[in-house]
Amino acid sequence: MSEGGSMVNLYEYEGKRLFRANNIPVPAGEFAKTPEEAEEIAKKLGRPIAAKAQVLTGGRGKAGGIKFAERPDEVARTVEELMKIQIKGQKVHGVLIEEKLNIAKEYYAGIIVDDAIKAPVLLFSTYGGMEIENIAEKYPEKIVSIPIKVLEGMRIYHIRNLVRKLEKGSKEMMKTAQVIFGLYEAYRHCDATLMEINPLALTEEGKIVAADARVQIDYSALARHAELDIRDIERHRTTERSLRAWYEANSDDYRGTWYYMQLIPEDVLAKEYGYIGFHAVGGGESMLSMDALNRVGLKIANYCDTSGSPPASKIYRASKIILSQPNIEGYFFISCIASQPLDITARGLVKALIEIRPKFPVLVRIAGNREKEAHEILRLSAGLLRRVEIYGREVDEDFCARRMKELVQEFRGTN
Amino acid sequence: MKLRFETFAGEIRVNLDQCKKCKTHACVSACPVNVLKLDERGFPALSKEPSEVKKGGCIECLACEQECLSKGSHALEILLPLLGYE
Repeated sequence: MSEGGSMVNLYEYEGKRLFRANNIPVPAGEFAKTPEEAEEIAKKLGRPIAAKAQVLTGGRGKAGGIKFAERPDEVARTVEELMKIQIKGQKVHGVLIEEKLNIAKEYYAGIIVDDAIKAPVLLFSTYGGMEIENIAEKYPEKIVSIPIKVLEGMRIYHIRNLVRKLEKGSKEMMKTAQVIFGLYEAYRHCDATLMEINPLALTEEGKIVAADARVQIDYSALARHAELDIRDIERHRTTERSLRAWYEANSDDYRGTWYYMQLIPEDVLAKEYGYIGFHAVGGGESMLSMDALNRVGLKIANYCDTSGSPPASKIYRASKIILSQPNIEGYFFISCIASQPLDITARGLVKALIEIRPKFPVLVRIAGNREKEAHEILRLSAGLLRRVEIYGREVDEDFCARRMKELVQEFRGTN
Repeated sequence: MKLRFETFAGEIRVNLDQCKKCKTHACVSACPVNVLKLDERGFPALSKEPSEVKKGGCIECLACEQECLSKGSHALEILLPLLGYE
């Protein structure tokens, strides 16, 4: 999971969505995948627009990735052209259509990690619109910075004092400081490693607006940020199934916990036999059980732990994702001596089993709170299903693993 | 005749015409949080405000659906959408 560097880049439109959520003003606009969508957005905006190609690399302006259109009927053609270009070898992911700004002045605001002092540093310059390295070279006196003390955090007056060093008495100073404070909060909240607004525009109407957004997130923290809504498997460096399961688990449903990892990618499962679906209640129990399965030579296609009293609806969704993996030869469900009400857990399992009706063997070991009720629910429904074996606290992980192996071998014999 | 209401992560649909055949009213007695009641005509109905049910009043234990399936008249279904697994 660590291949491909430790950062994840956000597209400009994703960065601006994050900015908006942190009270940083951004130009009115929306992301479009097609020329038709772009035209609709331009009509809604009803004013001259900028069409900005969305790529995860710099140098977009020079490569012709930003175009302007005065009227909505020009937009579709403009976007069609933009969608064809490649920028530093990257295809254009889509286009951000937004109002064209009347820029009076360009500033720069950014937070980067300074390895030398091992802390993030907030930078501000009244010379925006060019790379910060170039500003530093040409106009070093026009850059001010302040290290961020991570444990203490930052207050708005720190930022006001910083901005004041360059913009003494400026009317826009207070507004600019407020926007930069939003940048700090966004940076902190989403575990960013870099965040830049370049240019931070002062418009002729006197507004301070983030005209661009460059955001990098710590890859290790990406799993904590479903709100960023990054949906592509490339940046998550995972599989489609794992990503979908992760979004299910990390959407706005916080009842109970659900950890899922696709260990064997779907395309491999589609070609190879010899794997079983794995589902546990309890992190420790899942470790013990995976060891037990490993000892008998069974390989698991996925990891899953649903514990902390999730609702049956959540168990059902997890179970359905596991059961529907291609070519698996068994489903192994095991609980620790759990405190969560297991009758609820059983209900979720039953719904998924009845819906999928697996042909492969299913072994369920349920032990703990409300185990009798859970067994009754399972037995009642097991009649509707083939090859479901139900066990309780009288058996351990090793027994379950051995039995699963026997069931898998029988299944192979009959298929 | 249908009863439909949203839960936190899904939707419950009851075909009340089918309920006419039911003698057990198993869905109502299975609900551990009394979201369902029998109305004056003998049909399952909501005992709480729909907004309250959606907010978490219904704990999505799925008991009503399974009890209806095993003891009732197969009138109740719970839809829990799962993107990509329809």
